[in-house]
Amino acid sequence: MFDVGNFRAKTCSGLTRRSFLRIGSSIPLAWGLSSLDSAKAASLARAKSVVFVWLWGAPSHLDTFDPKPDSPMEYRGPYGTIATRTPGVRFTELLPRMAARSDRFTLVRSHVTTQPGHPDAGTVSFTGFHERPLPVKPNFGSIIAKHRGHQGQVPPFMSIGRGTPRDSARLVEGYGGGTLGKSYDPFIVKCDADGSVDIPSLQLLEGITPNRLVDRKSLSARLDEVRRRLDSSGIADWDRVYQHAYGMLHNPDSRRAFDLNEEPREIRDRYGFSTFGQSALMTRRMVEAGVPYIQLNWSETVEAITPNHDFGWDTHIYNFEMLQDRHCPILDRALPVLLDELEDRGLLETTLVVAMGEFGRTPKISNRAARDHWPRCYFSLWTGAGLEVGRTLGESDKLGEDPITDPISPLMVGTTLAEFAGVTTADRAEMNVLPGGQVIDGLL
Amino acid sequence: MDFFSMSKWLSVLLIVGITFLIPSRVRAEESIRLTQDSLFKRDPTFVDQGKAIVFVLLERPEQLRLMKLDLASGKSSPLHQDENRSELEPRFSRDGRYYAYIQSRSPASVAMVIRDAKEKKEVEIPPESGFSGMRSPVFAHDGSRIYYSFAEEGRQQIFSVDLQAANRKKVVDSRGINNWPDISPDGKHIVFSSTRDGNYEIYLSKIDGSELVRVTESPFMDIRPRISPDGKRIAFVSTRDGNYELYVVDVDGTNLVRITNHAERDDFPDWHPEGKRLVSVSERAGRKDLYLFMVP
Repeated sequence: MFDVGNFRAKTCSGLTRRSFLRIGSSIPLAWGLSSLDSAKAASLARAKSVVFVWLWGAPSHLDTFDPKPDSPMEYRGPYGTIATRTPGVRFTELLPRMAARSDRFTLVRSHVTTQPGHPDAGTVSFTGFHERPLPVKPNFGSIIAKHRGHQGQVPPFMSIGRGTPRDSARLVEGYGGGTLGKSYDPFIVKCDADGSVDIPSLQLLEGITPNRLVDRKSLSARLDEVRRRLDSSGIADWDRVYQHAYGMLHNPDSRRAFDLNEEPREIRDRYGFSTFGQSALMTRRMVEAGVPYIQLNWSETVEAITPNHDFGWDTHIYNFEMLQDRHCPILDRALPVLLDELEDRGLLETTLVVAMGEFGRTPKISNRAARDHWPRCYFSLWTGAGLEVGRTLGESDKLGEDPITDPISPLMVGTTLAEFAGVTTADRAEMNVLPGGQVIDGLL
Repeated sequence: MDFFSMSKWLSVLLIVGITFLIPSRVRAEESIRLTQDSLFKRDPTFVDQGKAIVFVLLERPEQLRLMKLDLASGKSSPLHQDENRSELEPRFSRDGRYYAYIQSRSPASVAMVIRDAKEKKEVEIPPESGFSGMRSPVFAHDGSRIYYSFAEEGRQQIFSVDLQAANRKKVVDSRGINNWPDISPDGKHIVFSSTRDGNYEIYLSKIDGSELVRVTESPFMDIRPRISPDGKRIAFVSTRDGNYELYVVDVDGTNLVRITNHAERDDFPDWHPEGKRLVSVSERAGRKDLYLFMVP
């Protein structure tokens, strides 16, 4: 083992701890060293779609999927634990439906990251690399989007939820195309709890609605007007956005894909009438439509309880109240239904689903009887695309402070997603992305 | 008359019918849906001698708003029309003159506001520096003090202050979390949830925190206790049977009755002043609305 980089941990504003990320000595130094043999790589490329469920704000690992019931009270928290379908694995009582489906996913409990703050850790989680030095690297979704290319009416990278992830101060810089260009930014679809949908890029086409598309002359004039307003440097990017927006508006099938009213009431009910629930339903529809990479966002902002913020997982106060009152019931309703539906519809074989946040939360309960940031240990869930499921991979120590198995980094997550989506080592080298990336061997 | 108007009147008639016609002991699970919008709700509490309910509505993805539901008309309206910050956990003094609630102020920082509805004045306990927040205010039986939960030094304890948010006294202090205080109608006892013995259980003590008695015992959460208007029973929420359900138990821990039995969530109980019904936020078909349940 050796140390790479450092991080300071604890809170959004009060950085109180400095430590080092310990990475296994097998970390490769360039694409060539991380290459899988071609036969193995080909066998991995099973994911027509990747769904990245982004639990923005960082859920407490101890209070959800990695409880420590035998640890002291100041660590373990107030929740009981329940058995799962995976022998020897327990979740907290807040997640009974996920526990009943643990045989359908693999739980990873040994993640580490290098950044203790949200936007920075968000960028590392989306790209595998720090925001600085510039340029910002591309989102995993942008890499897969470039590899697949823009085909038909379907955008190759969609971000579904309330908007581009941010905290109270700024956007996560790694949200989009980065070095690959804005053409590979995500196509954003906003969903509300009642299932209403907003597509911000269509605001470029102000005044143009599906019903008005019959008047092609009017549309062309409008588009020309928008085009004149853009400077030449943005025209190529805009063209791409326009093509999708126009294409979707023009194509009745595409329009219907975004209309949750097309779903039977019973299906919409199953997901629950929350922003995340209806966004999860939209995600399933986008998988059916063949979107290669979908980032399903829990929230736009990280903060759990802050004016004009939409209740992320950042629970510096009210950790236990928020988890039991709101977050876990919503998650435990929507995510199992998404997994069930993908499986029932035969989509899971060709869809890789990963759920995670940007870090964990302090195993030791804070002065405010809550939990702060903890980059040294957190979890993820993986299923689909032929993965072996019903098991855990990696293990944290008895207090949930550090992995006791080889740590798994965000770069390894991105590299694994890329391999499953068919972006080979050679492809990545050609795009100059994910250098040094290594797949998570234990998942294969 | 359109369908929704008809539904509203039928609901009113059902409420009247249950109040005056139905025998006092009816089976649990019989419920009346009071709201229809299906949006996220929490913290309902009866006001105006049971003629209205104040509750919290997730009005937009970024805001929890205090709402008042008039049971006769079925209409809801904002309690603070122009407020754009999240407000939650409202509780009222018995005479309705004062109410207290939590108000979001800045990142992970909330205040507790005490409002005099008659004089239209308010005082507050502001958040302390850094991440900080009060929780779960409730008025003493005579309205002279407010009890609430607050975390410091890693423990979440129960304090009380007077109507000027001054003269703070520590009432309940133990390791772990103490939350959701409620005061008996005679003002002599306080009930709350505590993790002092490992996980959330319900405890009863004298109003000064002495003579503590454990009321429930379960390996799963027992939270949000509310003492009945006659002071003899406690309604609470538990996950002991697999998901969030409402229960009622005598204050001595006997005669446990499960009030709800549904695969979806039932939470946030509050007693109607006549002591025979509970309002809850219940999820049915993924939709969260206020429901009334009879208590056998």
